[in-house]
Amino acid sequence: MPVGGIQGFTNTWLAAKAYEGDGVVIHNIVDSLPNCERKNFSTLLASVQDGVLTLGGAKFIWIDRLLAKTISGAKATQSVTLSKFDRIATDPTFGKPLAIFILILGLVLSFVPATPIMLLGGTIPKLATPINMLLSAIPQFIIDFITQVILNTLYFAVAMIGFVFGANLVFGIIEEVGYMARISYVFDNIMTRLDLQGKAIIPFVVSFGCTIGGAAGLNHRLGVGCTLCRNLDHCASIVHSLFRCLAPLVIVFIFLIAWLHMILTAKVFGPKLVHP
Amino acid sequence: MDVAEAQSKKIDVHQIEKLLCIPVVPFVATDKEYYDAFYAAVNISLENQSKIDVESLETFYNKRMIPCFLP
Repeated sequence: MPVGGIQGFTNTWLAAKAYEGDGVVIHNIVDSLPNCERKNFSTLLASVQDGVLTLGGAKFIWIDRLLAKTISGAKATQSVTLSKFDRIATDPTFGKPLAIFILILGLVLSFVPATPIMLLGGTIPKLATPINMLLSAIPQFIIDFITQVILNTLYFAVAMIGFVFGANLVFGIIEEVGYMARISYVFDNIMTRLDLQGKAIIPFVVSFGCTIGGAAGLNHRLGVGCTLCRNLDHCASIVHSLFRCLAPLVIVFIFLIAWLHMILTAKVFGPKLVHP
Repeated sequence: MDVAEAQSKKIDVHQIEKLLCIPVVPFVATDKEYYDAFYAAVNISLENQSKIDVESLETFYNKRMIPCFLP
């Protein structure tokens, strides 16, 4: 091992990384060694078994020794146990369906606080009749603009406020009670393959109902993205009006294209995205 | 810290600070009251360029794990 280390790294650090089998470090060490010592180094490396585990264990022993000097008053017999719910919520098998069930349930429950506000928004278009009567003296196109464009826009905006409020409230509660951390833990292995953290499963699940909401939800916990969820209804209406009985096939085709797009993107750019 | 307190453990934070040579903050991740102290400690560490003292870990490594790799 080079006495002064390499590029600012101490020889102990380099030795530890080599012991763990770090390819880049081993390559740099070999490059820095004279030819006569390279064989010895390779022989030493070959003699190491379970280097990562051994060194990891050594770190824990070191931490235990460090803490032994600084912690007092521990009850030797006391142990921490998980509650029954925690055991299920963090179970590799049952944790995932439970998480998806709770997320979908949360999405449904978010309509409970949202409904009064959405109903309130629904009354706005009914103002068209009295406005028509009051503004009968002005040109008809101005009345149409007020009663159809402005009132419907206000209705949509208020309805969306209700939904955003409900979704933020319910998912905020789920996060505050600590269940979001369990979702993150359960899905971490799967989502890590996409270079995401476990919590990113939430927009994925929500995207089954609303792609825009799910995609936008990646930037925030969840709620803001869902402001546009109802756009799906409008898209469905347009598709139905254009394609009539073929509308379901069009929807299936759109999902198929989206799915193929994801696969092609993953094939072409996946390695660069996940392992830059 | 909350788990340690539930187990009647007392953690000597100042002693750990002395051993590691970096600020050590008692912390409960679910309690936002602890966050300010944590961020303050991070800022102080950045200002002072605090570095963890790994000498004891290196000594431990050198004695027990990897003497054959060292000059």
